[in-house]
Amino acid sequence: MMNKFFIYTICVFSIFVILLCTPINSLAQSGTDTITSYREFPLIGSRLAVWIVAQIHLNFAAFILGVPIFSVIVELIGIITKNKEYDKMAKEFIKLTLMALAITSIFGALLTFFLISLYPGFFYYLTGIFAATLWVYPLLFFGETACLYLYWYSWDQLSNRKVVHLFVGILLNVFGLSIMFTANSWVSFITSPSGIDDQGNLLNIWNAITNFTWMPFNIHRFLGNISFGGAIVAAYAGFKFMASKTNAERAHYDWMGYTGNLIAISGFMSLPFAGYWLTKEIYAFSEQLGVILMGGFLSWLWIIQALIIGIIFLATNSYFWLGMERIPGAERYKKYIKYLVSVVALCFLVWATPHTLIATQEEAHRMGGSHHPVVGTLGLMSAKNCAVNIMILATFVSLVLYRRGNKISTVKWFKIGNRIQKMLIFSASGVVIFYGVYGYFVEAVVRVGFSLFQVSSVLFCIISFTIIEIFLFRNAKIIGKIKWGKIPFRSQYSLLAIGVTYTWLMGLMGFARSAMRQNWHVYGVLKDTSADAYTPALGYTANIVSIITLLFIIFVLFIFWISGFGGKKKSIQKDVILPETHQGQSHGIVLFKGAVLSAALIGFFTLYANKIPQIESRIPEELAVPEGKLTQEDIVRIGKGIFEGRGNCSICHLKTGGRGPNLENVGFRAETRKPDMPPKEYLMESIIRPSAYLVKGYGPIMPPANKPPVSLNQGEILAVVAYLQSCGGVVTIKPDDIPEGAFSPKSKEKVLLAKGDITVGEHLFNEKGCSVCHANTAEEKAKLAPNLFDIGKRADIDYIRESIIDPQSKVVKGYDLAMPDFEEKLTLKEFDDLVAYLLSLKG
Amino acid sequence: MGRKTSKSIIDGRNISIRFIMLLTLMIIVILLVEFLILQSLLAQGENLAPASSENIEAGKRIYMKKCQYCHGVDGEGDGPASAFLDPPPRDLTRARYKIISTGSGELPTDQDIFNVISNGIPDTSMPAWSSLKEKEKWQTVLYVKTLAERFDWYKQIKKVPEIVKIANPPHATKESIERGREIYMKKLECWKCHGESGRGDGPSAIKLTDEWEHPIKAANLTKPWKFKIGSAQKDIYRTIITGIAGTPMPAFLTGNTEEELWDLTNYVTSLGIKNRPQKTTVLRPLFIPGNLTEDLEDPLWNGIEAREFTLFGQILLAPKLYTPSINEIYVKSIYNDKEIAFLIEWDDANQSSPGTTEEGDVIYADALAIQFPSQIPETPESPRPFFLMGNPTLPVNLWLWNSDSNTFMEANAEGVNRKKFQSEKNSDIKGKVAYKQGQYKLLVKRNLTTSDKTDDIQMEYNKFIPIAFFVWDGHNGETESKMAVSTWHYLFLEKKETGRNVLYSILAILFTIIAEIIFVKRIRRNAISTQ
Amino acid sequence: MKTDKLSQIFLLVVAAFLVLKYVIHPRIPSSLLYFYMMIVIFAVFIYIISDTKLLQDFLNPIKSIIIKNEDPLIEERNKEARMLIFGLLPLAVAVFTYINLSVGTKQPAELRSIHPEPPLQILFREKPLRILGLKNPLRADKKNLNKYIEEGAVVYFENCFFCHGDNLDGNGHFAEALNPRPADFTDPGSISQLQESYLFWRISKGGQGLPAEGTPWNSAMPSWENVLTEEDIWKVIIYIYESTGMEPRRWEEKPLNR
Repeated sequence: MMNKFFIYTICVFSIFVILLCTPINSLAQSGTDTITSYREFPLIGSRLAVWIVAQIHLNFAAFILGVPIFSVIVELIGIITKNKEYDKMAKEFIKLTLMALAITSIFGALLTFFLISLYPGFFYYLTGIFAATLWVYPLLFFGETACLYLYWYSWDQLSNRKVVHLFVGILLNVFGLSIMFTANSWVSFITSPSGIDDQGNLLNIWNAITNFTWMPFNIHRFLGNISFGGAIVAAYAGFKFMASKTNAERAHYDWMGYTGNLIAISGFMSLPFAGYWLTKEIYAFSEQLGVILMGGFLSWLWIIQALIIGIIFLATNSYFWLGMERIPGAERYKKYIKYLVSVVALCFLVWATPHTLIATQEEAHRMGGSHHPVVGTLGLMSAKNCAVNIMILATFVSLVLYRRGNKISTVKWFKIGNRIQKMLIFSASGVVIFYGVYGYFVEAVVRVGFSLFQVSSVLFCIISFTIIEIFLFRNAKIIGKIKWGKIPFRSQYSLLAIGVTYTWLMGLMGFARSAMRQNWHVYGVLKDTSADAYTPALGYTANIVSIITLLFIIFVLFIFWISGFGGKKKSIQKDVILPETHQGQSHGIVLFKGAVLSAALIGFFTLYANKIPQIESRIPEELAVPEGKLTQEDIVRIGKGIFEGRGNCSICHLKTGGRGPNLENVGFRAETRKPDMPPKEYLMESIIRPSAYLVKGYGPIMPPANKPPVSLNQGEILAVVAYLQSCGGVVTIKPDDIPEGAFSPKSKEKVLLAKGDITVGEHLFNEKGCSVCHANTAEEKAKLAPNLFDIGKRADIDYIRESIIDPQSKVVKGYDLAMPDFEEKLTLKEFDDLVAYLLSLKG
Repeated sequence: MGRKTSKSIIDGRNISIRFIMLLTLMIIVILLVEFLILQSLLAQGENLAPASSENIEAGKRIYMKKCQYCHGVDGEGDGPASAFLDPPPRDLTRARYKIISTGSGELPTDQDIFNVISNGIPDTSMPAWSSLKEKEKWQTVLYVKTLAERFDWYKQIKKVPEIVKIANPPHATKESIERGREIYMKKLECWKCHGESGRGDGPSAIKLTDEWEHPIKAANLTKPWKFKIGSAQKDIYRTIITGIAGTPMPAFLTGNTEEELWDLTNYVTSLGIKNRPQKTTVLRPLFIPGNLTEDLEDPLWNGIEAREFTLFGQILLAPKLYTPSINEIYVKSIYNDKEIAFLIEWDDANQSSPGTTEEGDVIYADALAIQFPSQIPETPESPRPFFLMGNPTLPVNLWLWNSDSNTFMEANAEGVNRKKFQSEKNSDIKGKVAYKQGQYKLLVKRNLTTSDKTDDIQMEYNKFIPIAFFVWDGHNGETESKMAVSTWHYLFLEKKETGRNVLYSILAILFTIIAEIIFVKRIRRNAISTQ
Repeated sequence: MKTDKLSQIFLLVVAAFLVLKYVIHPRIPSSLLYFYMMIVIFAVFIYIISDTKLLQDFLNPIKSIIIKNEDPLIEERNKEARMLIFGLLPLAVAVFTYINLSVGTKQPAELRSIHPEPPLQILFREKPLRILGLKNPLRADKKNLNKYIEEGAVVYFENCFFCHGDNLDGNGHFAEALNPRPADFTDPGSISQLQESYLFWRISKGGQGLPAEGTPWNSAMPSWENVLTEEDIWKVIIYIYESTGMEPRRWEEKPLNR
């Protein structure tokens, strides 16, 4: 059986490598223009085909990269502790990997074929950039495969020379990680390309590989893969646990489930930090990309993510708490569950709070806007960082309590040590909350920096806590042995749920990574011009992710089923078969229950994703940018813009007859209306002096377009003329006619309107008695007071105002007759009118 | 699983009592906090800022940051925003205030200025400055006083403005209101400005200007929530006896007995709309079996609750309107299997028909439009036409009426300046309008569906149909894009699908019962197996 | 009392509901309330199943009603309770279903994307402007910053304050009539999350310039590019930040290693 698989896999793999290499060579030799950019996949379309295949490939790849890592670690633990059980478990892990490798390769090959055939242009470009790595990659793959099989088949032969065997395992992981790093260089390159020039030509392959997001991707995926591998193994163990027939079998799978889950949660707790770094690098590469990812149409994706991660955290905690029931002495800690669950739930609430709320109009009015003044603040980065860090701390505390379950410390300084530990937890929480709250009072760039303090305080707390813990419980008194297999049955559902949820989450995150590029194959370099270039809404995405998850589960079940063939007999031999009432359920029933649980979870996620805002990111319209010299079409277009926009022409000149003539055919009419006049001149004249050639039946109501309020400049008027000519006539305006910079935004000319009314002011000047003493024309002789005929030139507004309000302060030499105080005789309006009038007297 | 049911070690009851106590405590704490906040808000603290130069300086800084953009750097009411405001911002240099507790034309007390800053003025652009702290407000008061010299004069001659004392209002009896009406109509002739029904539509109202010669409107007495000086009985009484400085509203203290003035106060109070219609986002017409009335005064209308829709000035596209004179309309609506009818009421002090005023200002026609999208969007999330008369891809269907031709026309638009009337043959709406004592009543009616499926809105049941309203007041220079507009609201014609709902409810019952049976069976089986 | 754990937990859920619904002011939208309650119920569920004793204490009152009791007197009472509870539950579900199906009681929720991503490039009065990485040019001129703030204020009060209000809190005198309400610049989730180039885009292109994801296509924000100059817009942006005491979003400077 095994050998068959081995041969089969090698065959598929060889074909894959050959196929991978040949088209690249042939493509590389042909010219760009001969390449068809896209081909259509039947029925479901190219994008969906590639999407499904890529995601399933990725899930399996994550599994086969993650599992060997902890397999080797478990084997090492087995060597150190000399516990055969560890060795047995490590071997079982690898057996799962072995099966998965074949499927990974098949889907990898499928993905490559799909890309070559469906997206040849994109594939050609990418292989052109990464030609060098494409030779390394298959070699690495050979290494990985060889090591894996060697590792597996030499397990029993090398049982006496464990160090050699372990070395093979480590080599396997080195190959595995190298493969991931290589593949990540491609994926991170299409997100944040570097090492290329503006035309997209390769400058430096090393820069292309080590682009902005490469290392964060590596770390994020490394942790994610370990975590995902652990979750799947735990789910597998849960499945086996429920179907166990013997005590020993049950104990074994209980233990395996626990280990898998522990690995999963350890990786999981460090994932937010890696995710944070990745996001930071994305922002550093392009804030645009960052906004798309976090703030734009993908923002709701993070609410779904928060929901899912909250569920995983709660399920994991629940598993630990239930696990305490198989530990004698752990009842002591049961009383803390309610506090822990409250803390996690509260953090969950905060974390899943959307920034933008779905509200009816009335609700929005009640809130005074679309953000809630109280809850809205929870939707921001600071609050969420707090929540996730505290959730991690709480989960850590759960784990600690679980580990302590059956131990009583014998060291003398236990009280002090424990107090220090408590202090660590509280001070870390304090730091997290302090910076979370403080974050609201500083600007964004500082706030983002705070998360570093929060993360490091949590990490510091966890690490130093663990160190103290080790010393505290060294040589601790053991109350009783852990009764593996005695965990309540329902705990296993947690493991199944975590596995399924994790898979769904992987799918969602895969979409997030791909979707942030929007309509680009390679962000900012190679545009997606296919029909599928738009990015689908979250509801549709969730449907696809659910399909992918189901497919993945089916494949995984297949692997589990296959792997069941190998070691079954051995384990049953020495164990006592449980009495029927205490036996686990049959495989069929477990499968059915698992299916119901999976369906419920997947259904819930899908339903929720379909209930939130459904927004597609459509392809932005190409901007017609007039570059360098304007063409005649540009001018006509600009003229049309002015006609309908700033010029306000279209308000009167309607097609259906407005207050001005219908200009539908004006280009033609301008050519014929005044035979002795060129149409350009005729139109210019009509725009600047509208009353010159009135069309019969219309009044002289049009304001000259070159004067306020319209104030078009020469170039703009010519553009309007060009547009009008284009309406049924020949455009005679040439680009050279337009003065330089005519269309560049000019500073707004502020027309300072005189506040008062000059004519009223003049009237007042006579009526209120000013004219008795003051003259207001140059011809008039001086009266009792100074002649004001040019006062507007001589004095400013303040001087005039003051002279009226307080005449004594500004007495002009030679006139000693005091002017009476006029202020109280004038209303404010009259005062302004008078001032305006006087200002207008410029001689 | 197989464990036997153990007896509760901790007395559960104690826990729940503790829990309830905790909850009660929490509620008490919350109430206490809210109470304390409320207290501090309500506290009419004494002047927190003595008139020191530092405080005046602080007040100046606040003024320059918050006030000067309307009231002007020197307080002349000429800030950059002033040109767009109606009523214009107060000229603070003259110390002529409307909302004062002292006599007409007198200087205000500090508390008066403080109150205005704190509470704002209804129906104007003066907001309540809740963002300022109490002390800051008092500092602002100090600075504002330095803007007008009058305060200094008063200080020099040590004249302290006296607060007008008002006795407790007598009870508003029917007789008192009736006597008040006599005074309103005959003795003091208030109706000449405020109109017979109090809608500010009196014959003299149109030419009113204030001391600054800004045109000013007579108050619409049917909308007490817009009274700038307050709508409490005492506020109205004070306004009557002191008048409003700087406006044509005279003081009526002399020549009238106190009783007469209270009667008038009671009458003015009685003019206010009793139940101000609720604002809503969803207009739900009432289903009427049988024919829909075409009578504006049909008693049927009295039984239907009106809904208020708030309008704002069209300031998106030039030419803009910053100061619409009609800020709200009241809509009632009914429908049957075939038709739908809207009764729209709005106050407009002047019935306009195109022409010019004596001063030569152009008067346009009064008009109203109801706007629907030409096609109902599939879901509330689907794109809607631009609320301002649509866009080329998503046109709108307009139901128009104007006072010029007094006809009801249908139109389609793809933008503010892209309106196209439907031919008379295609126009399916009918309607009636009446103008009475400063109020328009307009009834418009159409079949739920028409033959013109592309241009006309086809009403569908149980769908959220976007609806918007536009109103033009011809006397306010409103025409074309100068108009009062609303954003999209919804019209919802409900058709009860009782059959379907009952079916689903029965299914729900069945499912619950099945779930119950499974649950009970399981529990029983487990119980037996553990015994 | 045997029913204690059950009623405790029931009380807890009810209390959570009351707090979420009535204590938070102003009230949160129902979509969020349901979302929160979903999480609360899930957390309570996890709590119950995480401890076998607790689970039994929780189930015991239910069991005691369901399972036949030896004592005929208690059995008689249980029978009644059984009938009552199991009869009322389907009825309650039916009523809930019926009410929820009656469409007339509902209001459409408006789904909004408040900060849709800006385009890479816009045409500002026919002039191409790259929004990506666009900096406020006036910020470089530190000497005149106060002048720009002052001029920006004038621009604000001549154009923006009718909707966005004197306090820049989105409470201008037209605000009541608008839906969506004008942006509240004093909200920490608003302009401090955004770069100045983002504001420039939103101001110059307005509600109609929103991309497809900028639902619900009802914004009354005018497109200001035809009214204000580029400089005016930059000035008013400076004023908005200055007046609210917010800082525009900056990113850590990092050279691109292209």
